[in-house]
Amino acid sequence: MTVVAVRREARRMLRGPLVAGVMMLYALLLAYGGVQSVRHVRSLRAQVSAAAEDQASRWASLRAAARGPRTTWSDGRSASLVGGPVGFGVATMPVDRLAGLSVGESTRVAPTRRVSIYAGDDEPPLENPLAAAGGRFDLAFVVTWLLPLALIVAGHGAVSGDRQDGIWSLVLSTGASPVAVAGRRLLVPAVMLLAMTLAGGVASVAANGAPPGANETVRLAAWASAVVLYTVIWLGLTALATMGAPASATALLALGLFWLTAVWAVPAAVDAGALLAHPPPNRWAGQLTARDATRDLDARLPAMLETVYAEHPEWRPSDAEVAAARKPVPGGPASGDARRVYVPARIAAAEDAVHRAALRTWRVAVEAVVNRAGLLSPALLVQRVGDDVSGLSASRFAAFDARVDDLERGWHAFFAPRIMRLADLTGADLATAPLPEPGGVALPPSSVLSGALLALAAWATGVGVLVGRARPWLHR
Amino acid sequence: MKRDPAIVVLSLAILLLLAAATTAALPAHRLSETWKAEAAATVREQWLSQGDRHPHSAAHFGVIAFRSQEGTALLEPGVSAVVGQVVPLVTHERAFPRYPAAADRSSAVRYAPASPSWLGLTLLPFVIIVAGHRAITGERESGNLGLLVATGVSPRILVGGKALALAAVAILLGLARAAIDAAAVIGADATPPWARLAGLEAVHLAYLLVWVCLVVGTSARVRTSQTALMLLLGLWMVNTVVVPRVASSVGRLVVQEPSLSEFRAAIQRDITYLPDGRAWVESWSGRLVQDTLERFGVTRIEDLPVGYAGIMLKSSDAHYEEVFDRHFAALDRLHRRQATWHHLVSLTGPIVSAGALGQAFAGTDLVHTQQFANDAEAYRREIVHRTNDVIEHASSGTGWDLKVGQAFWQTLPPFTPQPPSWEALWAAHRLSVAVLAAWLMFGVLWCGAAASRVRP
Repeated sequence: MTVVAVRREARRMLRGPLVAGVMMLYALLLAYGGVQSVRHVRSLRAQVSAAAEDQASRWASLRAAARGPRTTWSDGRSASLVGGPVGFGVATMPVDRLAGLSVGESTRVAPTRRVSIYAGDDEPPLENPLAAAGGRFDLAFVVTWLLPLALIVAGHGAVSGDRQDGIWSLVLSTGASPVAVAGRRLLVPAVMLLAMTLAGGVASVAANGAPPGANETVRLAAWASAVVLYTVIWLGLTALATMGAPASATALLALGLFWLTAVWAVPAAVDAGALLAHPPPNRWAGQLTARDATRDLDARLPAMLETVYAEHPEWRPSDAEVAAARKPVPGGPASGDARRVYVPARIAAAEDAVHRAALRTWRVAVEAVVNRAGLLSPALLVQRVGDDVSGLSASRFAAFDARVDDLERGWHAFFAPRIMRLADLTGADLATAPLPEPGGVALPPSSVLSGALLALAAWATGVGVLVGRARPWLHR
Repeated sequence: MKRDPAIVVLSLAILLLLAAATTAALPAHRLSETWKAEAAATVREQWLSQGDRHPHSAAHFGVIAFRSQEGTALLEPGVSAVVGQVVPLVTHERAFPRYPAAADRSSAVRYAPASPSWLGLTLLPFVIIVAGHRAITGERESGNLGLLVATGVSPRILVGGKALALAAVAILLGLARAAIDAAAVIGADATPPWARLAGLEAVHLAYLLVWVCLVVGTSARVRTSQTALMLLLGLWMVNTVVVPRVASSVGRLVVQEPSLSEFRAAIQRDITYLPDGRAWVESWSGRLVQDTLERFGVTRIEDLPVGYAGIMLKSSDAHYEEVFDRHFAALDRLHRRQATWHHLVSLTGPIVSAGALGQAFAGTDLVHTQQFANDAEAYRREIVHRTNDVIEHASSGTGWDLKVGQAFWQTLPPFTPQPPSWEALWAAHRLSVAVLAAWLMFGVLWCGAAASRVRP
């Protein structure tokens, strides 16, 4: 009986221009967001695989060159060239199959990072500034912003519309359960929107490759649960507004203002609060300090070299080795070897590392505030779940940063002694160099995800309790 | 409208929100500008006090270009927020601007832009809608419309009067907002950019007037306030939430750009290898030595009357610059193709054009950011060319034993980026001007056409 009633209600609503229009527009925007997400993920994956292929092909050339005659500019035996501009490694962050569910922080940070003996600035992803400035339109945006909007537009007049037209009292006089009538009118669009959204999410995952594994299925289920809870929250809020408002315009206004607050004002306020609590550090201070350390280089280089050799006496080459290492280049500097370039670069890298660490600490502190304050808005919570499930959250990128730090330490530890000893790289060296391998960036602990889900469930329960208490409003 | 306390409260609340957003943005802007000014002075001092060294070593040391921004940037960060404001300028490398302000925001605002200008563009029309959606329908629903028409008031006059009254509300809101903005730029700049601010406010007022026409016209066209509100809120949502994002993202869907690593790898490949696959440096180096020796009639580099290093670096830098120009021009072409789609979608809602024009006045649009990047690159090349010149002409033989000091470092003037020309700005934004003007005209026509259909 109920199924028949709901089916009738669905048909009736879809014949109405408002609900039909909302559903069509939402489906269109969902498809657009899904396509954008899939495209973005493919682009990220292409970056990662291109970086890995580039590293492999450069190292294959270097290994071949190391077996051939010496060359001036790209010799595979030169530790400074192999550790720096020619043989640098590239650390890559895995882009999971679920990445299409949210672009996450990948719009701010690239999934590849150069590992070299030279300090490298993290250049932002290459993107048309017009596109970056206009705001993102991915699947997570559709879920976080447009799903509640569509629900509000479709459901705000469920009761208040009839009340405004004077029909609600007639409905009550027929003996029909007002809860059942209002419930059908609200549930039908909610279920339709939810079904479309979940289907869109699954489609975006399917478009990104092979079926997800067991762990990914659990994460996908977590995302689906978050979307369901988010829909329930907005369904409850819409129900409250339409049950309490004397006219549908009032309900729409109230819901519109709440939507503005929850998806826009609260996140913006949380951001402002987080930055007030943790002001961003000076981003270029590291570069300035590094420049200061390497200024007046010609006069200070001998002292710099001595400092390194005092710390590592085992790295000091003999005079004969120094003389032998001087490889005259036609028209090139007569005196000098790789140490002239490496030692200042080592100092610059050390200075830069301190400031990069400060920046990362700041980022972690800011995101911790966002995570705590996320309880204030279901929009922030569902966004966080999307980020965590997609594997592109701020905490995953923090783990990637830590991995890159480890790789850089290993890279310096491998190349520094060879450069400072003026030793050629051997075939064995080239075989054992600590080249970055794909993977190795752990997902955030599941407690983060379950915490956000619990908070969403608490919101849904709270709204449900309010709706329960507001049931008498239906008899007005 | 002024008797409706809800509208007054809503207006005050939104103006308070704008004031709060502006106040929150001010300290970060001032701190950032102070840091940049201090860092620019430090970089200059580092350049001047780098001691005696080889000029090419100094070109590797380089400088850093900083883009200072006026107070209007805190109101409308625009494209500047996502493009870096700092460019390291060293030889053999053309860098992208780094450290965009957006990188200093948390993940909470990934989908929620909260600049004062954007809040104004989105929230003030909301007030106009709430205040004006009943302008004509309210009179009809209360029965006053029939009375008014019966007294001989022409519908055109009635609609025009309502539009003027709502325009007065819009102007009041615009003035209040301008006062907030003026206070912010006074707090941000010693010499506030009044002309920029006036332009920014004028654009935003024009945008509000578009909404005034749309709201009154819609209210005159439909039967009930409920329908008017539904339609207008729907338009507001589409215009505010959907259109800007579709406009900014559709270009990337149609025209795919390379990733940074792909772009860098392509440049490196063209620098390293000739089109036939041979290593560029190996073939170039030997040929240049031979040509130079022949040109000066000597047999050894050590016997050259000029510094060979200068000749060699000029030649290699010319190769690098040709490769950089080719790849950056290709990227620019690609971005222009994406921008075409951006402009096409901007026809569907006035907010994109109003935003673009506001950014142009605030000095934070793409033209300003590109001008800074181009100026920085020109300055980098100036450093490279000057240092290569002095190596060639102030030394002999290999040219690697030359050392120059502070007297030479001082010959390089400090970096002073120039604002783009009005012609460049007009060329970039004339479509936005046309779109906003077209929307305003459409609004007026919509109002006029609706007036002729008003029935009690």
